[in-house]
Amino acid sequence: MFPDYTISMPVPPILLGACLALFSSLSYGEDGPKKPPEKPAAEEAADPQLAGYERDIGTDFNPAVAEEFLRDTAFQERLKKSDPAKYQRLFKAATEAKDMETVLKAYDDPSKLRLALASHTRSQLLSDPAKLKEWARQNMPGVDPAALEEALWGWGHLSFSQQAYLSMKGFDQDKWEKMGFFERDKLVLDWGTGLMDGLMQKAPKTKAQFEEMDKIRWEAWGALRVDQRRALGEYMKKADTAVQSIAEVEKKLKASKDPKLKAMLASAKSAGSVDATLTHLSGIYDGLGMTNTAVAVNRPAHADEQFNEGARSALSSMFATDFRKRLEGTTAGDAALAFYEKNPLQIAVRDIGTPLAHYDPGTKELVLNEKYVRKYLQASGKTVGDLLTDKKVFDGLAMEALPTLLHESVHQQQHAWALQQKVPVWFHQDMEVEAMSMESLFILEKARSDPAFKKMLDEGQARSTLISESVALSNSLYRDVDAFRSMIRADYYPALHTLEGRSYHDSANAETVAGLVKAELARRDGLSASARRPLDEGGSMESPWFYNQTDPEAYRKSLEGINTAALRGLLIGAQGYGGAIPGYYQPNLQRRDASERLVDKRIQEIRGGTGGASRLREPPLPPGGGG
Amino acid sequence: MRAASVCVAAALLACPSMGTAKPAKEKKMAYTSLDLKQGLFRCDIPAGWGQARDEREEARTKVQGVHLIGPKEKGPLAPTLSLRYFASGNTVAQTADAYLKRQLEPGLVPLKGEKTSEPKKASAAGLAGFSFVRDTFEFIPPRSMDTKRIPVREEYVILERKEGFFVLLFKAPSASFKRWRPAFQRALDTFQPL
Repeated sequence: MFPDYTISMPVPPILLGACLALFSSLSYGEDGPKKPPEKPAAEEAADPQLAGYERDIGTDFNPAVAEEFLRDTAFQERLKKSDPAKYQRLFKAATEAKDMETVLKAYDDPSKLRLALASHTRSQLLSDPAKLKEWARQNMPGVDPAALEEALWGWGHLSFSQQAYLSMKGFDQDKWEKMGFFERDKLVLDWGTGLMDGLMQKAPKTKAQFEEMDKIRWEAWGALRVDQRRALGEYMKKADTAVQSIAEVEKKLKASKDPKLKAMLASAKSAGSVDATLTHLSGIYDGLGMTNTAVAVNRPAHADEQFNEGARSALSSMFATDFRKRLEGTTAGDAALAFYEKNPLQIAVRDIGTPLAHYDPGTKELVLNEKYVRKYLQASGKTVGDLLTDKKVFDGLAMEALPTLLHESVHQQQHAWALQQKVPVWFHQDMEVEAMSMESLFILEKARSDPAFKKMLDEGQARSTLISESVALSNSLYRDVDAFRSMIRADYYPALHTLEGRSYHDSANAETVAGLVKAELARRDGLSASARRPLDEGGSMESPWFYNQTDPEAYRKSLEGINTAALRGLLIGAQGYGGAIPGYYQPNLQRRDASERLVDKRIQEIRGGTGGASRLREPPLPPGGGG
Repeated sequence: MRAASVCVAAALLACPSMGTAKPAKEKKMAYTSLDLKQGLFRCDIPAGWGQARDEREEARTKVQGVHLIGPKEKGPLAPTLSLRYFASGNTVAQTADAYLKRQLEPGLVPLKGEKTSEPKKASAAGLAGFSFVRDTFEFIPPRSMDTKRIPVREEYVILERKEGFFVLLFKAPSASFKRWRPAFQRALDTFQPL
């Protein structure tokens, strides 16, 4: 994955900078750039294709017609020349309709659909739940109205405890039905977060205590965000390990007369936190001369399992040298090798929170989570020193982390490709579908050609659920490529915008910025000279952007302290960016198509021609950038 | 009045599981008839289960049918029932044999703990075919350092017809598979190609 901050970079700084440099030589009135003359009504009426698109997309948000329009580049070019404003409006409506169709069809589980909807802060269709339901009824009869209603937090689908919580906050069904989705979602998220916080304070010691926690976990689950689910999952795994190990140790110590071990067990059973419980349990297993891998992996790291800067740096160098050697002979690996002939390969190890790894476009590093490396060491009973000096220990990690690093390398190539195409780096769901597809394809190809890698996958599953998951994913890709892609969207990245969703949200944000900046400039025009002077001559030179918030009021207020010239620059930037979005969309669409064709073709080849009718046989995916 | 309602609310919060709806027992399950002209079949399905179709995707893939999702129990997974017709020229598998072969292959790297039964001869509505059962896993939350492996069971029934084939798939967490399995049996018993 990309780190989160790339999500908040809709306007390439280069573009904004160029616009800011340009603004002094241009001047606009309150209405902004002059619009080209509208087509005469008679001429417009004579263009039945345009009339059809305006009706089907502009008014009805028909997703099938929207897709046709988005792929009809000849018509788009024509309309862009004759009526750019109308073109932008239609393009925006088409991306919204197509995006919402993808979202509604990808998720059969309301709790996953809800995660996707929660990121659609600028959606007109979602602004009113009733409007979305009616749109789905008309355009997507295959979508179950009850599932959609549940995803939208319909009152009747709330659990008793959710309703009770909301009642306590002063809400009843009548009030609830009149509220928008985002308002509802925030309240239920608060409820779920409360339950989660409560769970993460508990240190269960018995199966019954853990099972009670588990019930609460799954009730809260549907209300939580992806990162919260990961954090809670991590905590519950530790808690489960502690409870199971206490039971095991109790049996083992029943006949023991060792007072020290018995005292340690008593300490484990009275410890106030899960971490402390696991630390005591780890000591007991050491005392018994036994290894419990689950306890070893989940207990707090020992000092010799912790990294310092020197160790991080040494490990990074070892990874960078090793990574290249392992890529050859696979589709994604060969593409990465070709890319790194012209681009630097840097691999870093550091703590990045809950993700396994990410590509950092700021430092151009593939970053592996230090926590992941620590878990590898703890599972294998090794230290950081062992990792740096024992080739066998390092090889094991390098092999295990290979698909994950390859995944991040795909993101690096996507990033370079976007720069080469002179389009902003859009971090959207399709980028992840591509990276996950290439990762799983890599596993299939590498397992066929490299017995050591296959052995690692075979044997590593016993100690690592992550390896099991990678194997399951590659098998899923092999069995049904379309089902694999749907699963990646729905289960792995539900909160990310699709390509069309990203286009739509950026268009809407650019419109909001332009509209509010224009209004602020107009307000200043009405001020007296003395009131206006500090804003013209002082004020902040920053250019704040509107990032998918649900309420523009805070953003509007932030504009009041910005220097007037900076505001004009921002207006030009927003108008320029909004107008350029269709041009950014098309190369991304072509990349998505090419990526799907490539993966489909390779999978067919691996299957040996037992697949279905091919929609493929097209050129391979464009390589990443050369600089 | 307000204080009383707060009290009730607090009590409910302290015991969240009180709020979760209990799944209907099979003997109480109600059914409704599904008539899918595009998927060329008719059968009974559990009433109240969510239904999802994607007709535009069906036109592209030539795989037509419906995906049903039942109620969740103690966990994040619900039972699902997928009833699909793979028309000739579909994008997934040319023939029922090819589909079956791909499903039965252990994969280039077998998933540890996954077990796929030998295929058995099966039939429904006069159509001959095969069935098999796979015990496998779902990973929740996905792509996390602390993913939980949840055992699930899948039961496939593949029925051949002159052109194309049907795939009826029932999937549920292993812990609740038996509870919901009769819903699949009812779909099989009432299955009628159109």
